[in-house]
Amino acid sequence: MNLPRRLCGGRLASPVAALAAMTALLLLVALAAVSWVAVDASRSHLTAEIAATAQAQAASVGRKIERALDYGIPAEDLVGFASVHAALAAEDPTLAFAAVTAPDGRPLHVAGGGMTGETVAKALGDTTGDTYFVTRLPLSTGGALVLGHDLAAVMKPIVGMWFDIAIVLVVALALSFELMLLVVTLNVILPARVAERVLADAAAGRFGLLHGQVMRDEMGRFMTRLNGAVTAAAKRVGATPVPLRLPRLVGVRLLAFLFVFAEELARPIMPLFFAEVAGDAARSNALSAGIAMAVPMVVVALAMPIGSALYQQVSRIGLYVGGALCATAGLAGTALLADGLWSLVAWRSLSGLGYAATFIACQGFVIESTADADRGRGTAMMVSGIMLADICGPAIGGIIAGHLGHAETFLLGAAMAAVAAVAGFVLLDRATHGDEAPPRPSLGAVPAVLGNGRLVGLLLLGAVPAKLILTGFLYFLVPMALAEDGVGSADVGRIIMLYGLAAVVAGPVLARFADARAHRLGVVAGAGVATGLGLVSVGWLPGLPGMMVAVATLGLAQSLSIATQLAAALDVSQEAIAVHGKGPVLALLRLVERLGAAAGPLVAAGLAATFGTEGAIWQMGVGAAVAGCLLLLLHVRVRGRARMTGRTAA
Amino acid sequence: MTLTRRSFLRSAATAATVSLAAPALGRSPPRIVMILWRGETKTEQGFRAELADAGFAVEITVIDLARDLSALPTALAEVRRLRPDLVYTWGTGITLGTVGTWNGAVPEIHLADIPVVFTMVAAPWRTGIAPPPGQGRATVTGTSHIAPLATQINAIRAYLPMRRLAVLYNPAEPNSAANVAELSELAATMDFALDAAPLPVPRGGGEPDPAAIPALVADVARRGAQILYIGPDNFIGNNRDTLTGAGFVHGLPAFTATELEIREGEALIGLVSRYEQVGRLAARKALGILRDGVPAGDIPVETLERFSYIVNMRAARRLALYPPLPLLDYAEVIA
Repeated sequence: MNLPRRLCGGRLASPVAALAAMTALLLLVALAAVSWVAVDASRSHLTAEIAATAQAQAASVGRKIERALDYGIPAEDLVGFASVHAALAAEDPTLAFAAVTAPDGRPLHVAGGGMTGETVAKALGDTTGDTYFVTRLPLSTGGALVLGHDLAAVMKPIVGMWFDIAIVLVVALALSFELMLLVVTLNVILPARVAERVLADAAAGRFGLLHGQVMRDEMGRFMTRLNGAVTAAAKRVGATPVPLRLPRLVGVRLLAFLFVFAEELARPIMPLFFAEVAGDAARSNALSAGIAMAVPMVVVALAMPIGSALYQQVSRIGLYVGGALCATAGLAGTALLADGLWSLVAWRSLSGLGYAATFIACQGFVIESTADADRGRGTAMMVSGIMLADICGPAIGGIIAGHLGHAETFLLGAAMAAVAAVAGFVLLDRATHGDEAPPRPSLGAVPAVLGNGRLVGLLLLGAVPAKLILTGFLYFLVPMALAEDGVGSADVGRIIMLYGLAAVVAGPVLARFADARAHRLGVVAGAGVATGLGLVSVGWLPGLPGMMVAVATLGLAQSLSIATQLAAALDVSQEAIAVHGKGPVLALLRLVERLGAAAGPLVAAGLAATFGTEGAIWQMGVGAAVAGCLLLLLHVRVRGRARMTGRTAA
Repeated sequence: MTLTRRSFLRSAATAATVSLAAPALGRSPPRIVMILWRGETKTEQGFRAELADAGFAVEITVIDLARDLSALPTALAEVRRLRPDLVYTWGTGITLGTVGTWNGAVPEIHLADIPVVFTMVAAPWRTGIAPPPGQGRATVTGTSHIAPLATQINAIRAYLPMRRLAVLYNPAEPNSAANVAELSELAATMDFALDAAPLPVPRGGGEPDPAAIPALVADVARRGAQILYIGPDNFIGNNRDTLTGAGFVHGLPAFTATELEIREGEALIGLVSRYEQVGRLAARKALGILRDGVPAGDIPVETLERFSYIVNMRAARRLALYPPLPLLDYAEVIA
């Protein structure tokens, strides 16, 4: 293990990281090589196909020209060549120009794309063919018919394929890293940590601990030897050693990843599929999709506190596996059985219940397996699993939906949820519950929270709009608007992925920035205004670029806002926390946020029905900016009053 | 030429009693009398073929006026004597003489009690043979072989971007004058200028002088006309080569809505009916009356839905005005 560390200048702190780096490198090389071969094969396949299509087009135009020549029309007097080109270009937008040349190569007729005789002659002389895919058909005059296809446009599928391959590559790397981390942690790091404690205990002469992990490999034999030595020594000093086990917390990362991934796969096609399944004469398709998205979110919002309250009564493993099975049934039902709005809502709600149950089980596992000191690390583990799924799920789901279909993507989500159930069975410790329960809102905290004007202001103008925009814009309007523009689901998935990617890449930097500001409310307000401006920019920057700017801005603003919101909320609710503790206050905040999230698709669908999809994005952007400004106003007023009070007191 | 009783009977006898199928169980098949302008044409071939295809037996008697309208009263007397189940008339002149106008028929002259199916009438509504749209004429229905005027203008524009159209016509022919009036109405809605040039008619009546044609063509060419329009005008029809010849001198092509001017003349563009199809359409109307028992007045007067676009390459080469490539996909090109 020293070798890689030395090789890397000692920067790789653990053998896991070194192993991860090497595995990642090898995988990257192998996958890149396979991808290269695949793209190359598709390129030659595509080139052959384009050549065949272009030849067929040339033959069809050539027949027209030959017929005209047969009637005795001189080649230089051909009429209507531009309309022949226009008809062809209407069917094939990649056709850049068409020309008829004289036997000496001089262009007689040129049509399309602002081409002149000169530029065509240049294109014809361009043997490397960087700009045009040129097809030549000899004519009976000795001249030729020339078709020029835009090379960049005809090769566009290859670019899309590169994106697909890059996504698959990233997801494969991420997954293999997850699995490796799991295997190494469970089989090497955890047993080593236990052995460290057992040895330390023995070194102190107590001989009170035995190695409690059960294994059958070299590590297992080592443990058996160690345990034998400790037992023998314990006998001599008259001690009774007990087996020591450490919770296998690392599993929560994969578990969190799996249940979120299952749900996120269908993200890019959700509103479209729902509109398709639930649309009827009674209401617009968009509204049906909005209802089908919103109602299950309400179910999740309400199930979270109820599930948290019941957590102590059920087994953690039962909760997770049961939840994962619920999600499996819900996703499969959505794919296969839903046939109308209310059956869709029922299947989606079942899925939502499963999501809530698995979430609570993971959260409980983290809380019970960690002490205050390492809880942050444990929570980060769960959060990183969720973030990874947020990024990979929509991206890979979009590709799958493009190739297999909408219902099939939900089915694959169901399969992933089933895998999550199996993984939960294997990875979750069967340890009994500890004293600490997941946070749940207490009714007593409600008046304390609602009586706090600043907190209510933060909730209504900061937290709720942020969630509302997330679900209304990112989950609902983005797929709808892009589909209206004819963008494929793979691209939709990649654009949604930008949200998580922006948060992951810039999140830590932004969090440090936010921590350095004293005025947390101001930061939240600023993030709201930035979100609004990002959304409004869709109106000025049409198509994919505008949507990318809006989604990336949303990702940055939200990663800045979410961490700050929490700290700001705790800041302004010191009195309530003193009475009820952090848990109930936080749980109440989450409940309000989740209800805001549930309102998102409904608000978006309502706006879309009145103003059109793009208009709805614009309206939501203006709303977010206005809410941010109001919050800023509130913040300034409160600070002003505080300063005034301070001066009076002085 | 006057039709003598003898020659009339001969012409009737030669073509008469063409039974298409054996009459069933002694019931004699319906009898049709055809009154024709210049003997049997492709129109009549189509008419007979459609009836044969329908398996409907008829007995047809042909009366050929051999281009002499003055023989019509004799022919009508013969029709009244024969009392056929249906009369078939060819062309505007014969039809108008047989049934009169919808609001001006005279029972002593015109047939009013025998169903009449007309064909090859250029403008059934304008000539008053057919009543205004929405009304029926109890015993009369039929077919036209001319495309609607707007369709004709679009046909011209498929060949060249026409903004100025010239028409030379004989103002003494009501049919032609009415057509020019309709063209000038259309000019406003379809955004083109119309140069209507009436030929001077001699004071005492009679036909205009064909020698006036070249000067008039030169005049419209000077005013910027892009194409000469040949309408349903007997005088222009008879002098079509003079007209197109003058056109060639000034680089002016000609458009026609009737087949003869392009197949046998020098017009550049023609939008014409296939006469066989016109005959088949007339036969379907006859079947409606004779087989299905529908009153003639309930069967609409119609023209074909599809026409043949004809390009005359001889004229195109002389004018160096070649058809656009897309046109060649559907045009019939005659060398």
